[in-house]
Amino acid sequence: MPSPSAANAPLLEIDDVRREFDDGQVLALRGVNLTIHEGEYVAIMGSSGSGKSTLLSLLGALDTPNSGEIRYRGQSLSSYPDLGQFRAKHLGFIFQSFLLLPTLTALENVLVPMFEMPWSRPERQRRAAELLEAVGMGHRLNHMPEKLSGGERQRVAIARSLANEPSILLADEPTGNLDTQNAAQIMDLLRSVHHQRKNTMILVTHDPAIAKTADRIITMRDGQVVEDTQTHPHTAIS
Amino acid sequence: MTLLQLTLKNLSRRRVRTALTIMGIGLGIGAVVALLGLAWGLEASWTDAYKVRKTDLVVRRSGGGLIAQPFPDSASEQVAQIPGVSQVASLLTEVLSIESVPMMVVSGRQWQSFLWENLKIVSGRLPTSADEKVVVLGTLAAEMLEKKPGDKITIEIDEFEVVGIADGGAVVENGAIMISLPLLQGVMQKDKMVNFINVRLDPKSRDPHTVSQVIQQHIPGCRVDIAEEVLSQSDGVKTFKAMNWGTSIIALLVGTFGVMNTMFMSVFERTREIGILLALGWKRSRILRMILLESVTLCFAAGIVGIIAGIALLKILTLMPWMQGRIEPQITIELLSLALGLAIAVGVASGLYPALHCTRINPSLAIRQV
Amino acid sequence: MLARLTTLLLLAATLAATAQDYTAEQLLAGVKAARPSGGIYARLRMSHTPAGSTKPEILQVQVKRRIAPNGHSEHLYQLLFPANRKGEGLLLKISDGQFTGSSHSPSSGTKTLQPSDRSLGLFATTLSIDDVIAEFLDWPSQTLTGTENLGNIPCHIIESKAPASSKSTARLVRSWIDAKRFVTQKMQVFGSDTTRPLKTVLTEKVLRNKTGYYLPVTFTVTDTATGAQTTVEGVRSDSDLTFPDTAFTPEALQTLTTAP
Repeated sequence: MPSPSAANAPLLEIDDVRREFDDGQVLALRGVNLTIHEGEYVAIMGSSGSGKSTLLSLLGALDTPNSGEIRYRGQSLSSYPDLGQFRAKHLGFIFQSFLLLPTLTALENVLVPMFEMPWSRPERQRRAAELLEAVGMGHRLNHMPEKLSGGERQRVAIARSLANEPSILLADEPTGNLDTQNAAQIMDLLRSVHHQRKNTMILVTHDPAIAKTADRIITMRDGQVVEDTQTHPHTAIS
Repeated sequence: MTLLQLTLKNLSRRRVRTALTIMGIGLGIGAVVALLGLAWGLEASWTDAYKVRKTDLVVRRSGGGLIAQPFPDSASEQVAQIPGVSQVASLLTEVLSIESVPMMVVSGRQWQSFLWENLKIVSGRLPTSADEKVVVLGTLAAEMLEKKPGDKITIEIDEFEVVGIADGGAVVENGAIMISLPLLQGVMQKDKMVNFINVRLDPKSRDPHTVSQVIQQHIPGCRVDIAEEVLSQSDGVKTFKAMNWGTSIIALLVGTFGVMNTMFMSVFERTREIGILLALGWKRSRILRMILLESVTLCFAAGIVGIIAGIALLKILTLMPWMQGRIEPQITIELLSLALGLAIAVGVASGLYPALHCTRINPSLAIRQV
Repeated sequence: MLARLTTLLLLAATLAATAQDYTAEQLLAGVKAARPSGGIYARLRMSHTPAGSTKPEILQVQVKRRIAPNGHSEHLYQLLFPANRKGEGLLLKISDGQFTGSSHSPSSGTKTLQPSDRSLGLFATTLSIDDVIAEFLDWPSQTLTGTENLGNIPCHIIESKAPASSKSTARLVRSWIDAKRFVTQKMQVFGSDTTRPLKTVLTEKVLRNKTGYYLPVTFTVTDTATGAQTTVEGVRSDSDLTFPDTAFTPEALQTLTTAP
């Protein structure tokens, strides 16, 4: 039975978050407030230096704010003893430069996050192969990253980001290193992943065309949210 | 995919560096195997001699080196009277240049004592009486002197017939000429003199330390060695062992720094990858284990290489003419496990610091590195 | 700093001076003093490589030596091995560079030595009676001619010239003496041609005896003309022995006995 309260419950709450670097000389975020709900498809847009990447690092629990609070399902991230555990359980990452491990095959790269999951070895193998199949890389399981094209590498990276069944996918300029055609295909793939899996998607980009594929566009400038537009109605998870 | 498979992949990406590092620490381990094999062999070849003779205590005059100064044989009767002593056998041991061999042990053994019991005749026979002018050669001695039963042998001014070749069960025995005590006393003009008394204890008796103290009280100026400890008490052997251990430790230290250097280079190169693993949620403890496993695997491989190199070195040493009949190197399970154990310890010691360094990597900075 | 350097330089200069200060006579006296004065029994292992051969022949030899009551030096050399030559022997009585004595072999019996036997090899090795007498130590003309390092041992070089009266085959002996231990490290023995040695003697091993003197225990004598070589190696020895007069008679040559 669908639970309306779950649909409307905030997944991530960002509460007056500030982040500065170099002893306060660089103010990357100057008080950001945001609420992101379960299943949303959000684009964070802004030019370089706007603070969008810093915000993504904080949302990805790769970094901690100087002040303010980020809550996941109501619980403050600062209360987690090990943020690595939090990332392992709830987050999937997709990076601009793919960041595949060069010594591992496509399949092995997808297996890497599963080290922290309580699954048996055959189970992991099966899941990894299925994920690669789902992103259209079923025919390239045992290829090394250097033998793959940029688009293919990003597909592997997307499969990897799903390996731990995360509730949130964070994508940092996922098409930044790709040509237009590949970029469009990757954006379609992300869209369909979101459609099938219903996880929350947070996309960081400087490209308005990419941002437009999202349901909600948050625009940042000088470390602050300057605009927050709902372009499509947010469909609740059913 | 397991952590070990991942480790092997990481090590195989810089094959030359990995191979050189394995060679470096492998040589260290090889040195340990060869040096300790020699030291243990030296000890074992002498204690073996007492083991095969089933000797518990050895009485000698205090002072002097491995070949002791002579004293009157009458002392052996006194020793035999001491409670706890079951049998005694006196010996006159000389190191002489025999025919074309520069140095050889000639062991004059009390006739009808237990010192003749451990000799297994390979060919020929044992003497039939104390004054039959014959000798028995250890197998190695026969080889070095090129003698067989029936040949004549010159010991100092006297000539003897070789009647038998015997396996004494220990290198020291096999490298020696066995002759009855009165005959050697005659040759050396040391009538009624001996330089060792071998003592067997009553199995139910007091412990060897107590009996040895009683003997020392009864016979002034004597020294009693407990057969099992006789060599570990000798200063020469202590020095030899200390030197071998010292050299081994230096070799291992050099190896440890070599591996540490390799591991540091390897983790510095992979800072970004380690950042990725952290970003993907790997626990810091898993990163630590991965790096440690790499250095331990490296050193384990080096341990195998080192053991092979060490055994080869010992075999070559054994073939050297000046080694023959002196030391039989000991290649035992204990030695090999010790070598592997040391290799693994070096792996842990050299991997720990680089591994701890990795756990302090900040993933968000590391993944931005190009 | 300067003071320390000065001290060091002074110390070095003093050390250098003491080493330089020996005369040839003092050095030779040191070498002679190291020779034991009492009776000695020694066992030697000699390894003789004849001219043109590479396979050494091993000889086991026993030596008895004493200074007789009349001041003569008496030597008895007897062969123990190889078995087919066992019993060969040489008796020498030496005084003032002259010798008398006998040789013995089980097959041809005992013969009295003639003055012409002086260059006879001991058991047919390159070590001759003349070498054993070592008369050159007592020649009046001894000159210190220089220094040289043999290996890492600093040595003084002494030239001993034979007087016209000497019957020795050697006319000139050049010795390299380690002045710290008074040990002869090397010798060259020349005949009338003083450019080419007849023989060289090289010390290979030195040991310190009970009385604290250093003695060469292993040395090699090379006949430079033929290339034949004999290495003499001291295996063991007993010193301060008292021998009866009968131990150094032609009769004693015919029997083998060990040390008293």
